Amino acid sequence: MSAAAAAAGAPLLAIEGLTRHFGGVRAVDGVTFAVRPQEVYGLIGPNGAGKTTLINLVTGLLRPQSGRVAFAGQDVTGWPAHRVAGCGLARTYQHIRLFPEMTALENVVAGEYLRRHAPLWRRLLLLPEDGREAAAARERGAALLDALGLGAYAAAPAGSLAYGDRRRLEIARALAARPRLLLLDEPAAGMTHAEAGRLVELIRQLPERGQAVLLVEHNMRVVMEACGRIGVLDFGRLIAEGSPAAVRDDRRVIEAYLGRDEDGA
Amino acid sequence: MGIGAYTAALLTVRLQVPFPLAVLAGGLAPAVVALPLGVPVLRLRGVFLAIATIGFGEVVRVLLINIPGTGGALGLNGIPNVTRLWHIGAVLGLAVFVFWRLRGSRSGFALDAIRQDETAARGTGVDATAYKVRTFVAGAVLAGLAGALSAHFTFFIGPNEFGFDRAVSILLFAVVGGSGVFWGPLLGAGLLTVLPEALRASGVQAGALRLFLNGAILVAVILFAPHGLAGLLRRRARRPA
Repeated sequence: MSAAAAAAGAPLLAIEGLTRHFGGVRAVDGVTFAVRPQEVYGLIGPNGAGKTTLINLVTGLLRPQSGRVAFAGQDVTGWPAHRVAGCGLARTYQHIRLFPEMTALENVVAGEYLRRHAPLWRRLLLLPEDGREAAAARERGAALLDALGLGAYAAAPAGSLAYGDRRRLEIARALAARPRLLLLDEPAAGMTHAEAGRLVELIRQLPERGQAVLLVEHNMRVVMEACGRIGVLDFGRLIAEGSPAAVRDDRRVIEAYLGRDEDGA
Repeated sequence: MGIGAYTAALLTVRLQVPFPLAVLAGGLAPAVVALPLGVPVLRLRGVFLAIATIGFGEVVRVLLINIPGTGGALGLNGIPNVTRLWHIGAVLGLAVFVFWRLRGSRSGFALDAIRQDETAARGTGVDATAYKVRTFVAGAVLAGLAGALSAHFTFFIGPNEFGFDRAVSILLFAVVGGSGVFWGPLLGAGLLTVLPEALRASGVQAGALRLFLNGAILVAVILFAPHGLAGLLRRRARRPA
């Protein structure tokens, strides 16, 4: 057991018995799972299964009623969002949340906020290293935009971009923070087949750079191709977990998506 | 602004404190008040926040009338007239410089992000509440300095000078000028200060008609330039590119 645990390594994100009710609805109901460092973990489930609520609990937008969230060995349960982000956790949103009046490049540079060394006093003193730092940040941002195929839109206001481009820009902004764990909430929504394929490629590169991914997604092709392990949520409970092939053939998963035989479905 | 004006004026009139020190105290006193006030009040959003700050302004006004030593409803008379134009220019210049450099700094990005999407800002690690409180306090310092300087410029201050009307007319500077860039409110303040004088010079009589024209201009700005005049100018500058 200890040998197996050592082989797997300590988890990067450990969720234990996490529970959140809204009135009588158990949106997330005693969920336990872990994401290992440099792993792509997929979270799937029918609409309303509690996936987004779970992500909001992990990132500090919602507080759990019970249970624990540990990130990088620290108990971050109930921490405010900005402190959780400070631990190395970046995310995208199911409903895109960009800074619409900033340009695409500014959005990415803003994503670097936590790593930025541009304190106001240094700008007030007009020190030359401030200008150099700003130029370096813009260069890093431009490289990220290029990597995501958005280089041509660097100077365009984020709000004016096409839907699929806004999704990729949101991912670029999250990556700019160089997170240890990237949470993607339905990144492939509204993407074309080709765009989704490029997204899979991008996600699969991240573990090599030392980053882990928690991917919530409806597009099964993306989930099956990108993820090493998959957890399945249904009515707020984790009903299955395993490799993509194992999950695809799991009877409970098929029932959750298609219904049981006796329901006539 | 009222707190700054009264603090500074009381210091010079009653205690003969030197003018620079009094102005400094006029800037600090509202900050001391704003800090504990900001923490609970800034949890409110939008119109509720506006109502809370207006309410607090009324509290200050009523307090100024009733606290002994402030001159009550009659106001404070005989404030030494020592503010010179360059004093105001220096403070304004400093403020403009800070706001100019704010863009591109860590704090500038944080504030811009909070304005555009607070949830996303928090998600990138911005402690939105802390920034709001700091901004609230910084605004109080500026208003306090303005009050202190103005009190030593006009010789007299009364509690009703710093009421709701004043708050609205200052807010209008930002709305008309545009609040997205640092020179927007400057433009608005300049325009709205010059406009009544220009109307007077062109023969429009004071009173109802002038207020009406002021209002009409405001409505026009809100309808045709929702980002203020600065927003209008920037859009025009961008178009040929």
